[in-house]
Amino acid sequence: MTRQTHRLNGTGRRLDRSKPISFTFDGKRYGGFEGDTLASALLANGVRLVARSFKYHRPRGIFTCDPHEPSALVQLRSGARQEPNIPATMVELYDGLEAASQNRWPSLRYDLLSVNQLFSPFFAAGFYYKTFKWPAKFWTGLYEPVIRRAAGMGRLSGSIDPDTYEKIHHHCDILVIGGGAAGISAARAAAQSGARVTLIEEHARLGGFDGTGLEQDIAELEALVNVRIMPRTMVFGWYDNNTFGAVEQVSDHLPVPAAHQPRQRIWKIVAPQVILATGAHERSLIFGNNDRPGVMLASAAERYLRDYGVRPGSRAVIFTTNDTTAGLAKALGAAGVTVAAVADARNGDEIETVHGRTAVTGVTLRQRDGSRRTVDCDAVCVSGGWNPAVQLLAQRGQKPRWSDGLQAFLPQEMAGAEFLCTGSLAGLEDREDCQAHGRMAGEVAAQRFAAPDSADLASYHSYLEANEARAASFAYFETSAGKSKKFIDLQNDVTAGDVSLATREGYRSVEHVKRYTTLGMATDQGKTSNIHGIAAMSKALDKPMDQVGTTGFRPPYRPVSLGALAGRSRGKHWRPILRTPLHGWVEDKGGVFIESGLWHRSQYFPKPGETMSQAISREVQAVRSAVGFCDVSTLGKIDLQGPDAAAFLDRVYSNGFAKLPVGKSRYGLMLREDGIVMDDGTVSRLAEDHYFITTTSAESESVISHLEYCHQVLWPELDVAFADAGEDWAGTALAGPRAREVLARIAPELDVSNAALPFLAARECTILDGVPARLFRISFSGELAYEIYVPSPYGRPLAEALEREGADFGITPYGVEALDVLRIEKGHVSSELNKFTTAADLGLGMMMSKKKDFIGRALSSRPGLTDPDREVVVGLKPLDPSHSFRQGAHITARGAPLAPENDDGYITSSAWSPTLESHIAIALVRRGQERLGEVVEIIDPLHGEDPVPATIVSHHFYDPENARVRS
Amino acid sequence: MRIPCPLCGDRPLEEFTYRGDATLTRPAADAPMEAWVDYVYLRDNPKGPHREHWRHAQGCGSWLVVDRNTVTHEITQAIQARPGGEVQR
Repeated sequence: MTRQTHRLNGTGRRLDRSKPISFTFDGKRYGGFEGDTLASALLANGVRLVARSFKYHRPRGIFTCDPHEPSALVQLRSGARQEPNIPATMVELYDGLEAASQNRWPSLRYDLLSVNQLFSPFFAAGFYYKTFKWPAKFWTGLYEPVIRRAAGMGRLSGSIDPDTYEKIHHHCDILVIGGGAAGISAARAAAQSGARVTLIEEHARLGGFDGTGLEQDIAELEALVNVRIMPRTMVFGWYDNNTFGAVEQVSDHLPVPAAHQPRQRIWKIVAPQVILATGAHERSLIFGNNDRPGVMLASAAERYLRDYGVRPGSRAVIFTTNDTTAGLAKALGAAGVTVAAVADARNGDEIETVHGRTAVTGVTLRQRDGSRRTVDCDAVCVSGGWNPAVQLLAQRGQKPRWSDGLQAFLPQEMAGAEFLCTGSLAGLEDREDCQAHGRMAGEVAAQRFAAPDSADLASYHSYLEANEARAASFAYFETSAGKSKKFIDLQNDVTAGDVSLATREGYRSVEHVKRYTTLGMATDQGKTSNIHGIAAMSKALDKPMDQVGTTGFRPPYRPVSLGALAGRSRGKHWRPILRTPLHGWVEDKGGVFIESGLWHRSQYFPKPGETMSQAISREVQAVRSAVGFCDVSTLGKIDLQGPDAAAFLDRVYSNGFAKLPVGKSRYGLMLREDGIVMDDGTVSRLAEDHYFITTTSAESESVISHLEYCHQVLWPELDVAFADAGEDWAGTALAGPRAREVLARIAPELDVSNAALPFLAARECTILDGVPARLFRISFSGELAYEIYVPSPYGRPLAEALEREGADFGITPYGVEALDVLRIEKGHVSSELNKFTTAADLGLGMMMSKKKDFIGRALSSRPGLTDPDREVVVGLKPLDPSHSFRQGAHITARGAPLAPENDDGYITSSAWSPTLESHIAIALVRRGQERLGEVVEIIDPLHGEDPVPATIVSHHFYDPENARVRS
Repeated sequence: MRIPCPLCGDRPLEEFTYRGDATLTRPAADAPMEAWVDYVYLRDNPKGPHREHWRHAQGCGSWLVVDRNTVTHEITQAIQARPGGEVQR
């Protein structure tokens, strides 16, 4: 373990020196103390070089003490918990922590790709657009993989994240964002009214930039029962109706989360009043080699000294434009660090360039008179002033306002009906100002919460105005001379030269320059640097800062892990599974399930040793020759009642229902208003004013919504009511020539004869021993068949009864595969209802009533939908019955060249028909009904298969006379 | 965004489905084809106040007429679409 060469004795108020900690960086062991961050501990150990830059692979160190650290991004942990691109400044040290540098090979010190610097002329602004344009196929094959490897950042583990993440809602009266001096004062003042106050702070502790002397205030705040303090929580988004998204790092500071604790938690917070005390971000300055390890923000150097007892070096140079560095010079001196020079831009002094490669060794100073001198040093502390953290406000569409006095972009409005701004976000600098104004903000928020129009904001506003009027108004961003690279955006390697080049090439909008140069597009979103891009544009275009303006800000304020956003919605929780009432029975029978929407439906019931296709054929043959039954509980079911029910049905279905007698079922077709088929199903009239509707499984939700719209919006005058009965009823289809004999056994009280219960009969009856049932003689298979519905809890008993009572007749359970084969043989449409087809396309033109108006009637007569050239439903049989078709394969006339204009349609359903002993298909074919008997070619260039010759036939392959369903 | 459902109170956006312009009237059965094409296909894309149909799909199932500003998402009124069901908040 190395010695902590840069650790001071005595200072470091965050540290618990009684608790030493050991950790590794790039495999090497180091020591630190509890309370350290990874960044402070690395600095304490004298580690300067911690990363390689994104594009040029330049050596980089620790630049800030903040969450938006642009340079020191590391990979944390190992194994499944490996996590890339984490700012070392935000990593709370724990014993055994493993961290590694990124974007370097073979090692951090000897990174071969640092040769990229030599080619930097090629990597200038817009290099993607200029360099890698031709030939197109090189893009995915060569350029992209190479660039991705070179410009990559950390690596994901590739394993499943073993930790959990969760989401939670929170409501409070007043939300305070930011736990610095202003936020603490605001929360205390607001809480005195008794309002429920929540204070959010992204760091582990309250106190902000300088928490010394705030201990008492913090303790008092923590003692208040109506205040909730949420540390390690970052508000990433501000949405409509004062809804906020925040992420809490519950366990990131621990090696592994505690039992039953998530790693992170997403909070959705709603608050009628919010106080923004988000603070400010210190700016860098732009000078030669300003990215060398050892160059850091002055505020960071001060915090490392004070909070972590770490000195930035032995000899420091301070480069500043403002008074906030005064304390730093004193603190450095007190820590025994020699302040070799202070270059105050206000006096005309500046740093021209930094010397050293993997660490600072000195600087060249340029003085007011133009003279230069070189100063040896190992640390450079920079302050270019402060940028108020306006990002959350800007997310709400506020364009920040440039203040010449404060030389900063401030919130356009310091107060809205639901928010207030205070602290350094509002341009305040001194602790006392922040506290005094924070109190005002807290009081105003409390008054507004109690009575929205009562608050007096006069002193709240005048305080800020006076502060702005006092400000010094000194503008300085970039050194005036020197040839070395001057970085604006450290994380994306964007230099002052890149911005200048972009303006020379004609870019005028800040949004365009951002995208062309990638300035501010890295994970730090340019919080330390965007202002310099704007200043450079202002200079190059000779436009004032406010006319250049800022780019837009969108959530998230800082990166949020995908795991947190996903929360519990992963694995089986990604989407719910719908199980039918017969699910358990199907499982017991060894049935195989298939996902169909959210449903798990029984696909087929294999016997030992059977293949899937053997099982399906056996099931089909059983239905054709004896009897089978199938779970149809997934169909949508709607109970419709009311004196105007018949009139309502007449308007929503294309065919007529007014004359449907009680005790009968009818097939119904529902169109969209644009004339395209929406859904099909059956309607059964149980009583004069009572109907039972089934819809397809896939459309049950949308049909309900559609019917509700028709009823509530279009025709509220119709007296009907309906209920979604989808989950109330379990349904089975009982089909086959011997179905009647099985039905007679399970419904002994019912006359099941053909005369008493003819085709399309509908009955409410009791079956088994008094189970209420709805029974419809409806057939999808083309055989004598019944659909039997019982209340859901009786689904399984019904299946067991059918199996038991049908055993003598050879009853066979069948799944959706056999169901599909049966309906294709019969020529019933199903997947042909694909949102492109009309009733006429489907061969159902006769279901378009001419006697009434209905949804979709008017527009179904449009020329485009009545064009005789349209693709219509037909059947296909291969000349060689063993040739199979693939769904989606296309149809061309025989001998027609392979060209889009010769595309005559496509296959919508296909199956092996054990009944016909041939492959068959249903297809949509141009003018298909006029081409019955024509031999066409089935082509499937996508799968590279040879054309299959096939004959166009009627799609009613089986029993076209419809005799069996009536038998 | 939250929508004040007249039956259920302030509810989050996720519970609602959107349909669109609520000011359209379904043409009469004998209306010319142009009227139908307008009704089904042609929409304004207003910047500012807009009257829209929303359905509280994950709640009471009501179709609502919502006055929403498409710029600010401010909702000034939400009432039930069916006449007589206008529970004002």
